[in-house]
Amino acid sequence: MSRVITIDPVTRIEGHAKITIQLDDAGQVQDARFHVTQYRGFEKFCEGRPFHEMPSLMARTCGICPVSHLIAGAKACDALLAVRVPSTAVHLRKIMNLAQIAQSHALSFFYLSAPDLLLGMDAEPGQRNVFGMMAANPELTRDGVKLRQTGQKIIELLGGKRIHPNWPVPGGVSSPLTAEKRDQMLAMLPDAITITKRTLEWFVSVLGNFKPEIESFANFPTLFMGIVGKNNTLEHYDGPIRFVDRDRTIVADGLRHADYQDYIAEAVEPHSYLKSPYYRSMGYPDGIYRVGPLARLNLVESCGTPLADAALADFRGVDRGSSFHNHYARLIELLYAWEKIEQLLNDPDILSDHVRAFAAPNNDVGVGISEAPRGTLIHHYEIDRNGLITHANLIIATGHNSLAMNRGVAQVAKRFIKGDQITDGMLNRVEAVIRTYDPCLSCSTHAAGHMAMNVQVVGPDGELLSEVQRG
Amino acid sequence: MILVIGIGNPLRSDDGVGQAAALEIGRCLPSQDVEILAVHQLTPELVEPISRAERVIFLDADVEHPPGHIEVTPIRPSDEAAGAFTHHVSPAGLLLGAQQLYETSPKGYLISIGASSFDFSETFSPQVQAAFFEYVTTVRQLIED
Repeated sequence: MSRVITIDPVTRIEGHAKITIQLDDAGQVQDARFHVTQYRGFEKFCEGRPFHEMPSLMARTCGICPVSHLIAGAKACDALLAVRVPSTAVHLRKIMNLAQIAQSHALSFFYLSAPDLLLGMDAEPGQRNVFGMMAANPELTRDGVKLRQTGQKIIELLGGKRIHPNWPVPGGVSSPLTAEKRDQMLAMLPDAITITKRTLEWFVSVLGNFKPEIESFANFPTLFMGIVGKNNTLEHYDGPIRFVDRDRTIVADGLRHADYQDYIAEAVEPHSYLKSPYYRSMGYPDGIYRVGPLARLNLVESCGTPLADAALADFRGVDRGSSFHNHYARLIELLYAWEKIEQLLNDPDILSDHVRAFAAPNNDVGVGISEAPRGTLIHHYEIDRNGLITHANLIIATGHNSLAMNRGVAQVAKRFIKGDQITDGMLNRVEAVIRTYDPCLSCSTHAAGHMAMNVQVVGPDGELLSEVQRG
Repeated sequence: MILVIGIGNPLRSDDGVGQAAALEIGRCLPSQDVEILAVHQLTPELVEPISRAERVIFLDADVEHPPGHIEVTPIRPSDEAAGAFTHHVSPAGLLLGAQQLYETSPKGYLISIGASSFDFSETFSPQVQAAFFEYVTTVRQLIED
């Protein structure tokens, strides 16, 4: 008799989702799916609003990565205005974007995934959280607190507040940087770099404990997509789009942001509110691709900063097809972020007061693309002659990864779930593959405290055969 | 140092009363010995500033008491909400974090006020508005004790 296992909600992710696992008559996993169960509607309710409100409106999509939406939204508005953003403003936006990536990576690694990495996938669920980490390794936990604080503090110094700063605006940023704030930021970076190096060393030291997970956590051939910087370096703010395959062979390169619909198409699956974009030339679902930290490192030849490049050289020895290595890539990007912020803050023009270009709308379509913590973020706005929004389309990083997350859930379920013996460790691995992507389903609708896992085994007639509750 | 942490969403009517009271305390007592934080929710990184405080006063709206009712509750370190600990944590969990990570034990208090409206609004319900002065006074008294 076939059965369905439901994991609802998926825990330690941003937003609300569930996983269903379909078992066949022999108790073997037949299929598994990741369902995003919440609906937001941001693209629709912004219609009719003045375009200059869009960065701030769209930032409300998310309480964890509002800066990413501010950056992509401001870039889309820059395209509507058809202005050249002053170089100091570009550098300041880059600093804020990198601080955002750093604080979000710290949250993902230390708060959401490190409990599994430190205590083990099979550890008692009541211990597999930050309190368990505090007891087992206080230094690692303190380091996580410090790194997230550093990223948040830099955002606050630049934008006036940690969450939803309205500082990136169409044409640039709303105010220049002061010497005092620059020095405050520079003073925080040496500690952040030391801590990140220490965390990387620890992570590499435990990597050998996760061989089965590395082999099966969404480890299959797909394309990887993202922005690439000058000289094939890591870049999160601007640059042409590149696709590579699992062997890091370039499939498409130099793609313009404004043409994104020529190379990305969007599908909708009936089981989820999450869109499923794919590489248009390869069709659906063969055009599956991944974005995010692992993808970004697979796309480039170097990071462009010394410490991150040294770490990247070691990273090249790991299995680049396994999404488990998003964790590793995330730490390398953290290191890069601190180094790059330091470089940008030391630019002699960083205190310039020329930080904004002004214009009326000159285009009726604007596309802004940047790299968010979880991957490539696309904002596409269309306006009427009064500057009011007539159409908006957003493709968020988690959406790009939709197909890969679904296939990854099935791969892990087939590897670890045996129908007659469902253990918490098995189910945790099914969730953990999703956590490697750090999906941001909607950070502004946090669950109200008690994120339990409910597993139901249901017969074909809908009868509840057994149930496991945790949390 | 006394740390006052106001919790809530200022765009959701009474839910924002904790933040509003914390900011009001900041205006009334602009002292270096009192540090004010206004936050939407409690997050793990608050452990660090809490670890530097002698006393921590959490201000939050409360749905368990009648609107406008003020309650002062001592908080002890606890991991009772451990299963939910991701980027959201309880006052007791933060005190435990300060103890475990930084080996400090600030005294903790929650001063709550009964709330009735969580609609989209930047104004409080009449009951909370009427009790707001008393609420701020209660916080001041605890700080000045």
